[in-house]
Amino acid sequence: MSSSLPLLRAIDELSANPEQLAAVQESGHCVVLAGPGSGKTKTLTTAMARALAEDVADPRGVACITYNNECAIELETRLGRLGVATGDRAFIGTVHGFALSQVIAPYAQCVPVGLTADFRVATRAETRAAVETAYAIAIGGIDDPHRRWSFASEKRRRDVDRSRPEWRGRHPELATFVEAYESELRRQGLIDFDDMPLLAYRMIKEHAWIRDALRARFPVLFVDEYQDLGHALHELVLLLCFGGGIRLFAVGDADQSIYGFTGANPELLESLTARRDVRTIRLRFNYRSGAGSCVRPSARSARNGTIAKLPVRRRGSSHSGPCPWATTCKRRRSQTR
Amino acid sequence: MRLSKLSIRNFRNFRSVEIPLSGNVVLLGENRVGKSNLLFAIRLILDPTLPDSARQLKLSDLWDGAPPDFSEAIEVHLEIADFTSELGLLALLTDFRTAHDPTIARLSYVFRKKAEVVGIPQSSEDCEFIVFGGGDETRSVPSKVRRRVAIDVLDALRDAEGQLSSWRNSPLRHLLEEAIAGICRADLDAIAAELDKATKTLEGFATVKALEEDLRAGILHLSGKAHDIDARLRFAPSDPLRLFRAIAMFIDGGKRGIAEASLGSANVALLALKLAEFAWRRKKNERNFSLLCIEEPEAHLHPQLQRSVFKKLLGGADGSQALVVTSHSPTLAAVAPLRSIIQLKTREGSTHAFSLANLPVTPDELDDVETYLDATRAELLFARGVIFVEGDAEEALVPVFSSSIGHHLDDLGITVCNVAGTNFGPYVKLAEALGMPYAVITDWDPLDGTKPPLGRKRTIDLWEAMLQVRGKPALTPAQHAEWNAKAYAEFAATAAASGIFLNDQTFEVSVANTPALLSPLLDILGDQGFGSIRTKRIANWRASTAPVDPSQLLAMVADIGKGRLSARLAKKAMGIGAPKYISDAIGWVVSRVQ
Repeated sequence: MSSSLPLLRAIDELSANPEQLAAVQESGHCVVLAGPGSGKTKTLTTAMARALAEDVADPRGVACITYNNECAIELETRLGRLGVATGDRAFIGTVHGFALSQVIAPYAQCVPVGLTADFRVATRAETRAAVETAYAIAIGGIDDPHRRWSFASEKRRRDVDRSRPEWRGRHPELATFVEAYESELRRQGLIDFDDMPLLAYRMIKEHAWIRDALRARFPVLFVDEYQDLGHALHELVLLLCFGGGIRLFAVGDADQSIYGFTGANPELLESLTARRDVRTIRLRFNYRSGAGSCVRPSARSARNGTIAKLPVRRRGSSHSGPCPWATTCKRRRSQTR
Repeated sequence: MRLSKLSIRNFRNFRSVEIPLSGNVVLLGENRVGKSNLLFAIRLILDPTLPDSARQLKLSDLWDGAPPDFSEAIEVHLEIADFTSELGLLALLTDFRTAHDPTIARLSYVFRKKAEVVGIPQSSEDCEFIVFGGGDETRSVPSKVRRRVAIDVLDALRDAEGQLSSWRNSPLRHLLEEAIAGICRADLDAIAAELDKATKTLEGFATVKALEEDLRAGILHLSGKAHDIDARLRFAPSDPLRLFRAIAMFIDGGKRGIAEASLGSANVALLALKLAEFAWRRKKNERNFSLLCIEEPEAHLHPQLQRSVFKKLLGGADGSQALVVTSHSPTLAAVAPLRSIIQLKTREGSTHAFSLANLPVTPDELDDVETYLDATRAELLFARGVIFVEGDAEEALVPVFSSSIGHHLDDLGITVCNVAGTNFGPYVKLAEALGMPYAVITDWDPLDGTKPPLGRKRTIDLWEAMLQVRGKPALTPAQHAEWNAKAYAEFAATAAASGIFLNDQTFEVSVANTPALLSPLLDILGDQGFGSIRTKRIANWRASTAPVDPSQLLAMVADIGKGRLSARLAKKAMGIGAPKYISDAIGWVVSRVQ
């Protein structure tokens, strides 16, 4: 297989940074620990481009799971500059997008998961109504169903594999609540966002052929912002990469937990680095790569000492979306062109 | 991978067919039955070179009997099995698994009326086509799938020379490009220099030089200076990188070019090159599966050459390529794997397909039938009806008996198939699967009467075989018990209604019991010069003073030999009658082929 000129140039640029180069050239499971400003996005995209050019033959490809759609677009743009046309052989999207487009949509009709052929994603009003119905059935009482649901929902996200004893062993009433909620959605031919990775997980776990199909299509799985992607993604990774023969390339920042960012699970990432079959590479802080790195607003506010050294600082951003820093990245890039 | 099923609805000749497939496909059928249309249906789904303008069918492509308002669409569905072992194919096809069986992928083409059009469409514009997979219209099939699971159509084997001599279409092109790429530039330059030297020598001859100058002057005169093309006579282009385009295939020890080969030899060369090209495309990872379609590949090939070529082409099971051929050649059909055979027949205004892909026979039975078809040059596959018999005697006499009652089997396209024994099962299954009218002529074989007659179990087994091929439930134990208890007369009548015709003893005895045939039979026995006891017995039978004793008769027949007896009887029996159960069997088949 031949590597394109932009890719060769990108690898050449990385050679000044041995950790980045090692990560890009790693052919086994690899976890890259990277703080802000360490060139992690550059490392990730170069590793993807290299895998597509050298390790994975057409029509097989690679998948990259990112935190949100903005991050996905950012990665696509940068891969484009490395000569990789995504969509054809590279899936880039959120864990929800991956679960929906690569597992649920193609295979839900083949295996019994309780979905009708024309299922759709529930609206917020529909999920709220389902919570209320399920509460009446499973819990009863006069509390606020939605307050109770926040606990049930947390359990739902955490106990991904319901065949394990924890599901019924801890807070069985919440398990019943969750099940009642889900069957209420199914009755109406609906799924919600949390359903997506959960259903995909169950389908992959119960049907080895789905795992084989995913491995055929994506022999390498890239994960960005690992610490932010939750238990469902982590369980999927364990299933696909450590039980299903797919190579893992995960990028994350375990230290981000101290920023108090909600939903971060540094322990999941750390559990990977503890594995003997995973090579852990720590990227050093790197001035030169600053132009390309995604910098999180939470990091900026919390760790002034480190952040102050960043070469380019942008204005304070609005925190309305889940990933405002992606816009920051793009703006910066357009200025450095 | 392999193609496992093709379904076509409302397209040209086809009202609705579901054709099980098994690897390679050999399409048999009379002219105009729709063999080429079936190939085109596959192309609608798979052919990467078919433009959208060709996928946009015409209104006249709708089957004639379909509602003209397009309330039923034109549909083609292709099912694919065994695609999971090659990871590239798995990656390409996994999105298109069917709901009922995830080990099967399904690709579909539908040509239908646009949703906004009411009533009968006025032109093709009122309709649209979609290509999708997994039975889900929203799941479109990317062009990459068609590029990597591709169909090649060789419809012009009659023009093998043309394909071989044009550089652009030649399957040799990619192979040569690759081979030449392996030569270093210095070596190429050296060859170019040698050829240049040879060209100079050539140009050194006055007559050649004169011819070249004449031609150059002629071209210059026509085109004018500004457009002159600087034509030269050369052995090869002088550019070393273009040198290899002058390389061609030669035959007969380099004496003649392939264009001078016989049409047949050029066909074989083209086929071999095509297969080499497929292998090359796979190696270069351009393709994961190739489907090669050839119309009448037997054209211009001597039967012996057909046998060796098609035995190899059709016999090899390969997960990365398959062949679909249409043919009229019994020679090709005779060496084709039985399961590859699909027969198309016109019935009531539409084409029906009869596939042997899923014929329910054991491997041993399959071997038997294939051996029989090979030995008889697949006569059975091209017949319009068939009469199955136990042995040589019936084989020799059934055509004679037929003539006697006014039916000439050859003229009717009815063949007599001698199964050499009583194992009719696989043959009956074959005829059932081909939708071919057939009758079985067999003996009741009561033996000495102490055991159940052999003909009874034989018939019940055949009923089970028919039910199996027709996809009907097997007989219940109660039904078995009922039929095992029935007396001969009722049993034989029911058997005859299912196409199985039984005598009450054996063939020879039934001949003796047919009044018109007794006299010639006894003439033959009389000519044998048996001893006095047998001679007297024969005289008594002739005088009807004693009934023919089956065991004595069979002992005499055994001494003469069944084959010799039947050969002699065939000469004498012409035009004088037939045992009733045999004339019934003949009538059964004749009435069904007419």
